[in-house]
Parts: sequence; C-alpha cells; structure tokens
Amino acid sequence: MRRLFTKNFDFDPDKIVMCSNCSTCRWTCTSYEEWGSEAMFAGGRLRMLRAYVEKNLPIDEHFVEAIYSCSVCEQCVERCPIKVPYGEIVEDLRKRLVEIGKGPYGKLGAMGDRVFHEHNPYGGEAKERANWITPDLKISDDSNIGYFVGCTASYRRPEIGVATVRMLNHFGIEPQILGTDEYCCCSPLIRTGQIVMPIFKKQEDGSKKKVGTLDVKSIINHNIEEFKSRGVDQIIYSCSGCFRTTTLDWPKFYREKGGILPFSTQHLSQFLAVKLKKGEMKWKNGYNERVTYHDPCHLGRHVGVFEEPREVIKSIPGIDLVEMDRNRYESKCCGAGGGLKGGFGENATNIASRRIEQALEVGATTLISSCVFCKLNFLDAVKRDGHDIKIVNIEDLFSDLMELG
Amino acid sequence: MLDGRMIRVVNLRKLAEIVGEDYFSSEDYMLDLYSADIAALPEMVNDLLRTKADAVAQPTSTEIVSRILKYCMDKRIPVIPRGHGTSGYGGVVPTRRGLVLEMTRMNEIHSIDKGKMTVEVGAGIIWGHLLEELEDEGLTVAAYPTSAPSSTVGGWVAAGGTGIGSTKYGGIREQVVDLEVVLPDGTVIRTAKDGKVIAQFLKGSDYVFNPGHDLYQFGFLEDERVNDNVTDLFVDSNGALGVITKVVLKIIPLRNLKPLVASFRSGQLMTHALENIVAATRPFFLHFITGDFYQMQAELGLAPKTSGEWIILATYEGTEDELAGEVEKFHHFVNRNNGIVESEEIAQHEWEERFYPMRIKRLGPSLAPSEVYVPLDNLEEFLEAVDQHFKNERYAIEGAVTNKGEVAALAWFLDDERKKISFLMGWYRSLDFIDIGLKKGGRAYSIGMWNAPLSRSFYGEKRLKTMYKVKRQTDSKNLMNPGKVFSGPLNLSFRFNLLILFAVTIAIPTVLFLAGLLVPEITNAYIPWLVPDTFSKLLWLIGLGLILGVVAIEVANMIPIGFVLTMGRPFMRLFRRIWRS
Amino acid sequence: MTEIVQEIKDISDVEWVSTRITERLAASGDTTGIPYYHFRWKKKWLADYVAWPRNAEQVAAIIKFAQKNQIAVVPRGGGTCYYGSASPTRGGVIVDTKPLDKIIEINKEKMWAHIQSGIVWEVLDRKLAKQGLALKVTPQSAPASTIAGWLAIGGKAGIGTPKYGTILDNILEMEVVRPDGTIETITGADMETFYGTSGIAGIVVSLKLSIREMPERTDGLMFSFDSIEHACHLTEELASTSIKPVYLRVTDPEYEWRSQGGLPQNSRKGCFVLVTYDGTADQVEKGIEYARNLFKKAGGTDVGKEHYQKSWDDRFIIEMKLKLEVPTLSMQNFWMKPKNVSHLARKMYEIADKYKINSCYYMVLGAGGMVRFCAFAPSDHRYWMHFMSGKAMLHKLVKMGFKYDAKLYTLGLQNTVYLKKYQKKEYNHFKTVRDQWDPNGLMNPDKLTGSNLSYSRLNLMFTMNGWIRRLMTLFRVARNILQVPRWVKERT
Repeated sequence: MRRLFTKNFDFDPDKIVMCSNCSTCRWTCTSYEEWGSEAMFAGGRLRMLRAYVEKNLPIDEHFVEAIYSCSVCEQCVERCPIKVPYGEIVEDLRKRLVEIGKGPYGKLGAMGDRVFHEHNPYGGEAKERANWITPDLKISDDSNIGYFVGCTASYRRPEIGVATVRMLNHFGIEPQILGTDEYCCCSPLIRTGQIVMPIFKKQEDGSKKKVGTLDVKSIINHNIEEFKSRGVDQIIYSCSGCFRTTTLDWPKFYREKGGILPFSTQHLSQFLAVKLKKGEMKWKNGYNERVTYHDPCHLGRHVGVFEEPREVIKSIPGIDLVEMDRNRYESKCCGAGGGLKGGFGENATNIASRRIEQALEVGATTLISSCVFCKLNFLDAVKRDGHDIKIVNIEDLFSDLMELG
Repeated sequence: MLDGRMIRVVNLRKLAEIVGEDYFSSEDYMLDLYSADIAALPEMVNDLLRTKADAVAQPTSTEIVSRILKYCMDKRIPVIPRGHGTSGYGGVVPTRRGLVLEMTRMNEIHSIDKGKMTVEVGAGIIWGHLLEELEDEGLTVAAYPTSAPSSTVGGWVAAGGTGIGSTKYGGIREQVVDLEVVLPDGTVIRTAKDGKVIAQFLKGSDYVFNPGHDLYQFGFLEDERVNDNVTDLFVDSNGALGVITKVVLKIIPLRNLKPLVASFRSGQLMTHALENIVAATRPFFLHFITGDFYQMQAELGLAPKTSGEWIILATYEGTEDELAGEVEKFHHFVNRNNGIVESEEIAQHEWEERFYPMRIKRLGPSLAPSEVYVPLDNLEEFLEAVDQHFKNERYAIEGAVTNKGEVAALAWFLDDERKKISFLMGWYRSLDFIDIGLKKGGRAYSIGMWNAPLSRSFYGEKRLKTMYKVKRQTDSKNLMNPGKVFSGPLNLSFRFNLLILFAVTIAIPTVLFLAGLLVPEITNAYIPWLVPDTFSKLLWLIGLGLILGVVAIEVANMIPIGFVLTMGRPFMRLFRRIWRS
Repeated sequence: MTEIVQEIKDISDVEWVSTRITERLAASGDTTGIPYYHFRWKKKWLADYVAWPRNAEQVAAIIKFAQKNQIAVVPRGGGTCYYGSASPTRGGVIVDTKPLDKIIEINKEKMWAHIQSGIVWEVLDRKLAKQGLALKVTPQSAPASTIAGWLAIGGKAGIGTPKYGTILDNILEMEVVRPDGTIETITGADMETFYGTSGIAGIVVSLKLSIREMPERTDGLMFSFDSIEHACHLTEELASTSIKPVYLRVTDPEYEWRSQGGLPQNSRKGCFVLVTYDGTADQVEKGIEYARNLFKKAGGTDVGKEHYQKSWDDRFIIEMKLKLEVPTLSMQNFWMKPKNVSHLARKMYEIADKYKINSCYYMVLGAGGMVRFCAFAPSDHRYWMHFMSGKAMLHKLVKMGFKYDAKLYTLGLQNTVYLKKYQKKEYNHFKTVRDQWDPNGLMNPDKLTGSNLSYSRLNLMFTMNGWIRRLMTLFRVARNILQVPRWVKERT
C-alpha cells in the first residue's frame, strides 16, 4: 500500500479502510444538514480522503474547507454500525494539514496565536485572567478540590465562573483556582489540529518572522503540574469542552506517569447529581416552565454523561422536563464545536437555530444546556432569528434558584 | 576453584546455635525445597549449574538475623534471603551455595496505626493473612500481588512489581512507607529515618567497575546526595543490599468493590477500549486476557460465558454514587469500541478467580511464564509482534494496567517438562518475550537473577550507581544474595567443571597429535615444537592441557549470565524446533 | 467548464451545480470499499459536475442541458449500492436527488404519502411515526438509501416485503422526468420501466407511496439449527402460510459471530433463523406460535429473547456490522427459491475451504416466496491473493447459481457483465427500455445494457486466480488472514 501514498500527504490508511461508506451517518450529520453536500459528512469525507490519498491529488482549499466543516460532534460514531473512530480521524487529519502548512482553515489560526501569546483563545490579556473573581467568592489555597474555570468563563462569561464558585461555596467547598497560572485547556486547538504550530509575527515591511512554536503539550503539562503542586486531587468543571479535553485528551499529552492524571475530573452536573443523591441539596425556589435539555456533545457522546444533568433538572420543583426528538446519544449538535463556529460562524448559527426549532416543537420555553459553547451559540441564534425561548445553563439555574446571584 | 566454599560443619553447628536447632536444617530434602523458586529449573540445569544451598535457617527475630549476618560475613558464607519463592526470576536461587534465610517465621502484625493509616508487619507474613486480619478492622492494603494467597510481604517488597489495586494506587513501591533492614554487617536500620547510615557509604567519588550491563563499562561516580528516607533504595532491590525484616505499609479503609467485565472480539478493539477506560475512569484494578487465554480456558471448560474472547476485567471502588458514574462511563466506552458488557455474575466470578490464572496449567502440563512492562500505547503493536514471533508455540497472555500507564503483560507458555531438551530450549521464549517488550518501549518486570543484565534500564543509571556503591561498601565480598541485581558470573557445577577440564586436557594433545599425523608438512613448518613426537613431549603437552583446562574453567565461570543468554538464544531456538516434535 | 456551469445556472437561476473536485469525488463513490481497483474498472470514474436539483423543472433542465452537450447523466440516491449503480463511468453530471426530500402530502384516508423521491427511508419512517403511521416496506439500508434509489435497483427483499410485496407493488403513481426532458406523471404498468432499471428510463421526482397504520405489536423469535437445509425448508414453509412474516432472516455462524461479536450460548452451529411478525396482537401471537412449533419440530434451539431483540434492532445495519475488522467486503446477491439456497451455500463453503478463505452468507425473505441470498467473502484487499480468491469464489458461485435458477439481485455496473450471458430475458428487457427512451445512451451509461468489460476476460482472470489459489493451498502457502474461532467453523 505504501506505494500509493503521496509524499506530502501520508495518512494511515488502516483507519480509512474501516469505513464501508454505507452512509448511515449521513442524514444526522451536522454539517451535511447545513451544506447538503456529500463531501461534508463523515463517510463522504472519508471517501473523499481516500481518493485524495490513493489518487495522489494535491491538497486544495476545498479539501481543507471540507475537513474543517465538521463540528466533531461524533453523532456519526454513534450511528456507525462498527463505530469507526471518526472524531479521532478528523482531528488527526487536521493535525496533518497544519503540519504541512495547509491548515487551519480561515481565521482559526488566530486562536493558536492568541493561546501562544496570552494562554487563551479569545485574545484577552493573560494577567487579566482572574479579573472576574468578585470579593465575596471564597477561594482557598489548600483545598484538595480544584475548579478549572476555562477561558470562556474567564474572559467572555464571567457570570458562569461566579455562579459555579458560589455554588461550591454553598456546599461549604472552597475550591482552589489557578488564577493567572491557569492556561487554556487547549480544546479548541486540539479540535482544529493546532497541536504543534510555528507562530509568525508580521514585520513592518510585511514579511513574516517566526517568533516561536505553539506546543499544546507544554501548555497542558503546565496545567497538570500546577494542580499537582497544589495538591488538588479532584477538579470540577463548568465547561464541557474543558471537561472532555481534560478527561480524554490530556492523558495523551501527559507522559510523566504514562498518561494517568494525578487527579480525577468531575463535571459540575455530576457534582450536583451526587449532592442530590446524598440529600445534601434542597432547592430554594421552583421553576415553573416547560424545559428541555440539550446534551452537549462534549459531555454526552464523548464522555458518556447523560443522566446526571437530567436528574438535577428533574429535581427542581415545578419544572416540566420534556425530551426533544433527538436526545441523549442521538442528540443533535448545536454547531459550535470543532472550530465550526470559528471558521463558519454564520453556518454554526443556522445549525443552532435548527436545534432551537426542535426545542420549540416540543413546546419548551427554556432550553437548558450544560456547556458554555452551546449557550453562546444558542444565544447568537436567538439574537439573530428572534426565537421565543430562554437559554440557560445548569449553573445559571442553580445560582438563580438558590438566590446566590 | 573447582567447587565453592562449603560451609564447614563447625560453622553449621554455630549457625544452628544462633537460629535455634528447630529452625535450622542442612538436610538434603530441605535444601532442595528451599533452593528454587516457582520457575522450576529443568533437572539438566542442575548438572550444569550449582544452585543448591548448604543450609536453611528460619530466623524468628531481627536480632537473630543480625547475628546470622555478622557471623556469615565473618566466615564468608553467602546469604540468600527468601520469602515463599513465588516469583520466577531466580531472585532466591543460591548461585554460590551458602545459607538460605527463610523469613516466613517473622509473620507478626506489629501494629496498625489508624491515624497515619499504616500497618507494620514482619517481612514473612503472607499477604492473604494480612488482608484477612486487616479486613476485620475494616481496612485493607491498597495493592496486593496476584499471588497473595501464598506470597509474603517482604518477598514482594524485595522483588518489586505490581498487582491488584496497582491501576489506582501503584505497585509495591508506592505502598511501602518504611522498612526495617539488616545490612550485611549486621546493623539494623529504619529506612525512613536512617538515611545517614546509607549516605556515609556514598562519600567521595571513585573510579568504579560498573557491571550493570551486558558489556562491562567503566564510569565515574559523582557525589550522590541521599536524603534521610532511603526506602526507595531497598524496594525491589532483591535483597542484594540487606535483609528486610519489617515492613510498614500504607492502608486504606475497606470500600465497596464493583467488578465489571466486558468482552471484545479482537485485540485491537480491546486495547483501544483499555486506553479509553484508563483515560476516562479510575479503576482499582484493570486486567485483561487475550483470545488465546480464553481459548485455553474454554478447552478446560473454565471459560466465562462471554460473547467475545478478549476480556477486560475492571474493578472500581468507592461509594455507590461514585461507582454509578464510573460504571456509566465504562459502559459508554465499551460500547464505543464494539464491546459487550457482561452480566454481574460473570464479573463477580472473574473477580473471584483473579488469583488463579495458572489453572490453564492442566493443558501444559507445564507452564513457563514471562512478564514485561509495555506502555499501554504500544500494547496493540506488542501483541501483534508477539503473535508474529511465536507462531509455533502455544501461549496465553494476560495483563494488568498500572498507574504509570504501563501494562504488566504476563505470558504463559504451555510446555511439557517431561520432554527435557525441548523444555530447556523453550527457555528462549521467556527471553524473547521480554525482548519484544523492551523493543516496544517497555522495561523489565522484575530483576532477580535472570534479568540482571537489564538492571541498568530497570533501575536507571543513577539509582544503580547508588546501589552499587552501597553494595561495595557494605558487602565487598559479594555475599548478600550474590548474582542478583548485579549480573554475576555463571557458577558451573563441579561435575561440569570437571568435564571441561577433561575435555581440554585430552583434546589439545589429541588434536596436536592428529595434526602431526595428518598434515605433517604444515605442523613441521610452523609449530614443530608442539608436535608430540616423543612420549615425554606428550606428557608435557598433557600437562599444558591441564593448565589450559583450569584456565578454561576459570574463564567459563566468569562468563556473565547475560552473555550466555544472549549468545545461546539462537541455538536454543534452533534446538527447540528440532527437539519439539 | 465554468462556462457550462454558467449555462446551467442561466437556465435555473440558482446555484445548485458544483465543479469542485471535493464534491465530485464524494459524489462519485459508493459503498464499494476498494476504489483503487474500481477506479481502473470504471474508466472515467470522476464526474464532471454535481447537481442538486430541488424540483422537477431543475431536473428537466439538467437533462436537457446534458442532451444538448452530449454528456452522461448519472442519477444518484443514497449511494448505498454495492455494485456501482450510481458511479460515473464516462464522467458527466451526477444528479444528486437527495435535496428532493419534501413530504408533499399525507393522505390518511386513502393511506398514501405523496413524497419527493430523494427522501431517506429512515427520515420518512420517523416522520410518519409521529403521525401514527408506518411504511409498508423498507430496504435493509434504510438509514441511508432513498425511496427512488431502492426503486431503481428493483427493491424486493427487505423489511415488510414477504407481507406487502415489492416496492413497485406499493407505489401508486409517480412523477418522472424522461431522458428527453419531458415531465410526466405515470401510473400502473407504465411504472415498470422505472423498476430496477437504474435510471436509464429517466429520473423519478416524486411518488405516491402506499402506507399503513402503525402496527399494534411487532415481535418475533430467533432459533438456531443444525444445518442449512433446515433453514431453507422452514423459510419455504413460513413464506407459504397465510400469516406472513414481516421479516425473515437466515444467517450462518460466521456471519452471526462477525456481526454480533459472539454466538449466543448453547446455540447450534448450523444456522440462525430470525422471524418477525407484526399487526394486531392476536395475529402476532398466532404467527409466533406457529413459527415456534415449526422450529421446535425441526429440532431448533431458541437463542433467547435478548439476542433476538439485538438482532432485530440491527436489521438496518446488519450488513455493515460485518465490516468490523474486515477491510474489504466482497459480496454477491442472488434472487432465488429458498429450496435451492442450501446447494449454493454448501458449494460456497466447499470452495472457500479449498481456497482457504473466509466465507459467510445471510438471506432475507423477499416478495413472492423468493429469497435474497447474499454470499460474502470477507477479506483485506492489501492481501491481494486472498482478496482476489474471494472474488473468484463469488464468480464461481454466479456461474453455478444459474444452474439453480438463481438470478442476480442487484445489477449495477459490476454485474452487468453477467447479464448478457446468463440472463438473456432481462437483458432484452433493458435493451428495449434503453432503445425506446434513451437512444443516445446518456442516462447512467454502462449500466444494464452494455458492459465495458468482456465476460471472457473476466472469466479467464477469475478462473486463473482460482487455480493459482488452489496451487498455493496445495503447497501450503495459502493463508487465511481472517481467523474465526474453531467453534464457528464447526458448521455441518
């Protein structure tokens, strides 16, 4: 088989040949629904990729676009009769594209730049990372429970961080927070293949000068070492993306102990569900609305957390939880993941809009999610298309109903 | 040096006095019993090597151990400390005869400290007993070996390794808090605080002979600073630095255990699932068996009734709530990899069977084990490589994931001890198995005697140097468990030495004589003075042969084991093929 | 090239044609997992354009455009055919019908649904289910294939076919675009020219599909038997009784093992029969009772409810589940009488043993008491001899099959080569259709009516392959690359 490969695009064929092109993954695919093109769904991409590899075709911009139009929601993996690890394949593929200088698509490369300089993909200054912390929050230096805030909560949605810490304080937990020593979890970079990437700086005369190399491994190891040195053995996450990346991707980059992290990870909804089961949680207020729960891909399909958030929501007095047509393993992606929002903003909003329509179809007046990306994207869709629906996350709901806000 | 130092009768009597008559023996059947580990050496080896002790002592207290060591060092008697000999690396094989110290009489539980969560026990206590005792108190140890029903605490500490619970809590190295060790000169130290005693051996730098490798190397030792806690130095040191008499172990409260079993149809799927499970959950014990293993169990009617043949056993511990989350994730990742989560009965059964992998011995009738650590990432490649390499052999592999993301892969080769040559030659498999593991980025599982050539990669340069220095300072005559850790020479048996002597003595004059007869022109032209034309010259030559014979014996006795094993392997492979059928 | 696109755009004034290489690549392939070999077989395997029409007028426009410029038109549904029915062989334009996915009307009184032709079966089924309705027949590739796609390959074996007949029996009328660009609505016998003709008579745009109420209960059972003969006999028996099953599937142990990852405990090692009934609770009960008695009399063993449910839930993906660890799946479909299946299956085992390759089969009961018998040669195309011997075995089976009155189920591109030699009657039918409607030969060229490979060449190639493999087996150099457990091979 070796002879069939191009020199500049050598991709492990064993992974591609697993796919039988049965197209079972097609109609549920997030990007197929948006673009309606066979080059833009899981099986179609693999079919196309195979032709590129076997027929020695030059990598062009359309190929890069097709590969980056995937939100890595892994609905296809669930649908796949033999569970071809499509998410891994597409991430590997993007990594290759970045390696040969053809990726990442569009403006996605700016995220890598910003993480390199300021340790977050939003471009906020690194020293302002802990600015969201309000004086009433109780944070300790020696607790064994840590809270990984994430870039979105630190720079874009400070209320999420505040609500989460208040929630932990409510249960008498004073978490450790890395503050300005917290770096990006690298989820957006790993999803878009920017694992190792040279960083250039534009000179005055227009030429580019290499200023360094972005290395996801060192950023991740920094985070792990920080938590380790502070004696944290359990970390709580409010961001599903960070949670997924820590749980499934960090071990791959953490080689010191062969990839086993020195702490355990827990999503906030899991934390609340445990508290609920132990009977340590009583809701102060009720929520008299018809709500539906949207499973974030990073929390649900990737890690397998489906029931805990639902248990938490169901326990709220007066709430009426209805399920959308596609839920749990079948849940439809909101369109924000995998660099789709960064690369194809308008399309991502379209996708979110369609998901909101599904929620409206079952008569929900509130759409609950547990991922900051989903929330951001849904809010964009609501703003643009004017849907009559409230978008909240579990921690918002908690903070509201417990009168912590 | 045709035969080693026998312990003189006087010394035997004196030793018996120190230990007490009841706890001392120099009878043959006892010596046979206490001179081998579970890797029974073929009888033929006994003709070649000298692996029998002169006496066995069962000390009952640290004080006695100290006195024995003092006496033995004085009289130059090698001492081999020993637990129950359940390891197969030759760590308890007496290579230079001497005295075996059987530690199982020192089996008390000295104290349980519930504040610090530690337990102090005598080195000879059996894991199974310790577990039972702790269970009564609502406690347990975080990790114990799979040979727990018969192996001793001190034995595992000395041999090192991983076992049940290691996936979460690490191997024995992570469990030991403190050790009481009797150094070769009889000094008793507590490793957690008496680091200074060790530090004094490391002062100054000198030019040393560093034997921890196949090829002898010379290196320069830097000053090593040793802190007060030197426990790590003694764990998995195979008793080469001293005799472990007491062990302080970490303990944890007894918790709910939930075993889960998933079956897969192929190794590829199973290894992928293992990676996912280790990443996303924190199992207490994560173990797998391969399809071959399953097939063998099936032949004996012992196989669990699972759908697939590649089986993962994952055991989780914690409260019900903690368990629920882990179980859900386990299900998720098994499904993702096309596996099937089996029923609870099967899981319970597999968990209870964890101590008895050797049941497949019935197919053998003998089993030759071999174990090596392989990084989990390379497990799939490793299994494939093993499959390719041992096409003509029957074997089964099982493995357990450790907290370092490595897999302790254990292969059982089926064999028949009664086919002597074939069995002996089959030895190459164990060595090849380890070799494949090393090639795939792994490391040796335990050092003992057979793996001594690998000690450099196993301990790491720095630690090996420290160990070597300590050994040199405390035991310059190399009497503490000789030949372990530091690759010793092959000690051939008296009979075999004699054979070499005769061979050389007779062969040299004969060859020269024949040369003189057959190719007189050549011999006359080049070595006329060596042709035995007269009787006196023949005698002289026989004399020369004798001298050369003695030299040959000395040389043969100095060949390091690693060298023999490396050079001999291709021959073993060849002979195995010939004699097997 | 851009000029031509511009021309189409001018006609329609919408942007629905693409010349991007990525789109063309993705739309030019199908389920066949070995592009490298097939790229050679299909001469110009890459289409020049991909078009996504959204209504009949756009379809007509594209066909007119193609006629004018004399380029090939390849209608495409889900692209789930194994035999290259929707693969270009002379470039041209691919008409992707999947954007035609609207439900136009659902009539609950007369029980039909008026739908566009490109809707995916599973999507339609889900939408109907919300209204308490159900489809009568569905193909086994329902998660991906489209309505018209199944029509074009001549769907007659799937879920519901034993009870409700072929897909054509369930279509009331359809709107088509002829190869000359005229739009017509046809009913009755006229529709037959579109049944199993791979689009050579034109493109179906919308159709009225007969539907039914959601059945009260759907249930069944699964048994294992000692030999294939049992299964053939039972299939015949069950197909001829008054209570017809809605789905009946027979699998062999290797198939079952590969697709489910293991055999159920205590099962017999000959074959597995799954049968499902639906309708009122009463009917289902009667059907199951009847089948159970029959199975017990034949000496079968029940594999249990759980395994039945798993197998039934997998009905749509069962073919694809075989693909796990099998990089290349060669298969051949036969449409034949159940009583003849055992001969063919035994022949298959015999050849496979001789060649030292893997083989397995499954069969599904179709319309009119006939079965679709699928023979598989799981292989890995990187092991060339193993792979080609699998192909040779299937070729041999085709030759043998005609003796047992077996016809090829799917024709597409690859099987067209056998058509002229073994199925003269069908060949003449296709020829007439082609001559009548598409004299220029632009609609899906090289399918059904003319092959770009000669039979004798193919025959020679495969026969030689077979002989070489036999020799290799003789000299013990042939190796079976896909191992199965011994107990799976203990088939009788």
